[in-house]
Amino acid sequence: MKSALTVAVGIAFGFVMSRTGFTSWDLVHGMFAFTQFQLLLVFMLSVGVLAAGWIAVDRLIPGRGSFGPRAIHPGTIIGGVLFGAGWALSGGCPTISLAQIGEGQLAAIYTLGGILIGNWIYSRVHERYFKWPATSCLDQ
Amino acid sequence: MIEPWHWAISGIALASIPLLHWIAFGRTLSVSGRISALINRARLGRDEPTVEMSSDELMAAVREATIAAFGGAAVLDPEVPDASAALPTRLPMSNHLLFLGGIVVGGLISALAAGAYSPQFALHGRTFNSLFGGSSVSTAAVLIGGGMLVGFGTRMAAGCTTGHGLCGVSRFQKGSLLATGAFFGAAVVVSLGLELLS
Repeated sequence: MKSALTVAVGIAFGFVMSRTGFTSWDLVHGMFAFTQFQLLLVFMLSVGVLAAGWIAVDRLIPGRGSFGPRAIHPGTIIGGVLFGAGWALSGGCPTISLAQIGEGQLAAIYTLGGILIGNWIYSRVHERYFKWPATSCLDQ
Repeated sequence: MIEPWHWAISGIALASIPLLHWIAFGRTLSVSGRISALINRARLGRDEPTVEMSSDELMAAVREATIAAFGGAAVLDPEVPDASAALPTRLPMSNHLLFLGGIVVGGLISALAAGAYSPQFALHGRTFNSLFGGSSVSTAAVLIGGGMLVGFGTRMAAGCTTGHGLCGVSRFQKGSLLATGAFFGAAVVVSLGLELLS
């Protein structure tokens, strides 16, 4: 049951991602270069709807859990900058590259491969050099 | 080409996914986090044990250890809370694979439903192909290189567009606002640079 629900939410996410325009390299580039406003509007509206949605969910389903604070450390900014540069080049954030592969934009397999390699490299580097806690959004 | 929905429909549809995930599973929607879990499993053969606990979870764990060591009399109300329920549980690997695989299937269904499924070892986009699509080698190089930055950066910043950009920003979490500002700013700089090249 839970597995079916997990797949269903994943499928919904991939479908919506594909239809928002986020799987188009050109539209993503247009958002960051301020030449196309589709995705900027999608993102801003989505954040607004979500902000209201969290409040509504909290009221409707009390005890669903609470949001813990997020750790802030140098990696928050440095990692963000590296991610942003990589997204602008590849046109893919992790979700986008998965949805692109499904759509038949098979070159996104390269992007996904790069993401897996980059994640792996960071996990090795982190253990050796960085002291801040390793967290992910799933722990929130 | 799949024609995108109107931005208003897209924005509402996109917002529904993290809400659905939160209602269904009580967890923040996270894609880079799931990828990190897969990498940990592949590297270590087990899940990474280090999780930073919230203060409630820490108190629950301390309490459980106290009861285990000194018996129920050592705490004031030994029966009331279920300490183990407050501890974060790890999702099994199958859960991550099902979710990430679901995203791929969602993209496939979208393309099929639009009658636009013609798989090619390329990326759509006129600007992309005029910049990098000259040969399969240059496409591969920019996608692998860009992907590595994405993988490295999202793990370092502990979140990607989903967890930081959508979920964290809409909850006004400071760490996510910082991370999102950083990745958006860097992407703007790189994209304006590419604009000069094109």
